[in-house]
Amino acid sequence: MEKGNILDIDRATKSFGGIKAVDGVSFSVKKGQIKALVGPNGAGKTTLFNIITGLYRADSGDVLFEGKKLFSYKPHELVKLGISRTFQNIQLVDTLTVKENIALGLHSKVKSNPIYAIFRLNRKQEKEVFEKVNKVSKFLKIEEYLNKFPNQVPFGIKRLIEIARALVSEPDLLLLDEPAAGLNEDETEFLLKSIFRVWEQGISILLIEHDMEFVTNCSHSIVVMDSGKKIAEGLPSEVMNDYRVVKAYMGE
Amino acid sequence: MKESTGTYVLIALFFFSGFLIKNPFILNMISIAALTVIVVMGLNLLLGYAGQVSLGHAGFVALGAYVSSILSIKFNLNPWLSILISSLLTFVFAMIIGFPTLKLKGHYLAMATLAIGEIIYIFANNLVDLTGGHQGLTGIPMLSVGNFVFDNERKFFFFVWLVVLFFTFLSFRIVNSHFGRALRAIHEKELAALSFGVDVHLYKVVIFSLSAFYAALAGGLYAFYLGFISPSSFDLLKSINYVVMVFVGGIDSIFGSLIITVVLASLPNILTFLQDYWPIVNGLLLVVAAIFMPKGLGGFIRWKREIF
Repeated sequence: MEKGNILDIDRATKSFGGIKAVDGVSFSVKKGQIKALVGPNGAGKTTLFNIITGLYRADSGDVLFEGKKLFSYKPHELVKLGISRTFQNIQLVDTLTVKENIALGLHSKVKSNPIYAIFRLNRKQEKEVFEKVNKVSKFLKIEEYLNKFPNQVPFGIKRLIEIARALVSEPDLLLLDEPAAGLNEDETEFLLKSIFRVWEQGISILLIEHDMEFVTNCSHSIVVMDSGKKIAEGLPSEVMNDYRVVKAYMGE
Repeated sequence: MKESTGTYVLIALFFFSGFLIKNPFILNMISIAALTVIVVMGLNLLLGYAGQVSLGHAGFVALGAYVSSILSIKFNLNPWLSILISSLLTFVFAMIIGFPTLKLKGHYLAMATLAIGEIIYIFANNLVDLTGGHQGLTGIPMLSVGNFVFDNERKFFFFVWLVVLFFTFLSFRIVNSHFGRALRAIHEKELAALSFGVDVHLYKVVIFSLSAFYAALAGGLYAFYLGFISPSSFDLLKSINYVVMVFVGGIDSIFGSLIITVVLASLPNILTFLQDYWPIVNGLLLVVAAIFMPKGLGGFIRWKREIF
């Protein structure tokens, strides 16, 4: 069955000084697809991610989300459109409990300003937020950690908390930045299962990953980048045997 | 115990100590300290919760004090009304200058806010016709409600602690809310906050203006309590004092900043032999706090979280 694209990246280019970190990269993510973006260190994967999420402004090119040009939105407006992300370096707030950290994912759904805070006008909405937090944490099986602080939980759980925070807003597109980095085998396996369960909910996923095995296990399609350029795209089995990919990873 | 409960108990203790303390000098000292508490509490929202430094808060206190005094002396406005107007004007002023300033980060923000404070100080010193220059402004009327005049230290003491109570209540409501959690996220993980829909810049401007409002209101009360203000009460050292109080009292601890502010604002009056060296004491305190208690005094206390 042919489905439309949820995300189109069209000749995105970004340079820092004289270095082209991302150089004319184009690809699309189809609805309901798990797409992986791989490449050696310094290939420009994270830069591309930051372009998609609006943290960097691309020099040229376009990113379309369901046909809407993302560059006309501010970074904090993307989550309303239905895009949410996790970070390569865990970005949990240490002074907030796990529960509150996940609730941050629903920030834009609740009216928030000092007047509302002082008169507690959004109590009901906040209650709904925490109900959703409970639901998503049950889904990812992290409910026992909810009242702890992020520095009191194991590393693997922190990743899941990040995913929970991204999921709680019920996005259409989930961006995962190296979700398996630093995880042991058990944790990686659990993460893999979680990603599939997220995908079963109909959420499209774009993930960056180093671990080729992890990528071939979980994604429908792979884009390989090297030195800012896209060098291959296709099914995991095709890409793994592409000589350019082998060259990028192993050398000549 | 929740932090808010602890803090309200502390405020009640201070309030009722007003019945026991006979010495007007001490009452006066603690009243002035309580006004400082209001400024520091506002600064803590900005510095402790949202993580944005301001070295110009004495400037906002000055704005509150001067604008309200001038309104009531030159335009014969009711003192209460003039305090309110000056605080709101300061709020708007902080919003306007905060918009460009808060795009800066770290040291650059510190320098810009320092400049704001200094500019206000220089204006207070040099607009002699309006402010009386470095000789100060006198003849500020006393606060009164009907026939009840706040004419002695004790009356004002009780009143000012009620005002502290009010601002503490505001602070806790703000901190323990959706808005407050977003502030903490901005403090620690700005990128994450941005990615999850927090309009980081706007939030910074809002909390900056709100803390300027706290400062201006305290400044207004200060002017009408003393009946005399001069620029030397609002110089750069004062701004630095406020920042030290937030750090030593405990970043993101309302309880800590309350108790430490009362102590640090009173000490120079008790240890009079140290008065000339107070900036050194302050510097030492900041160093000691940074090394031995990076989370400040408040960091030692584990409160129960207020949560659903």
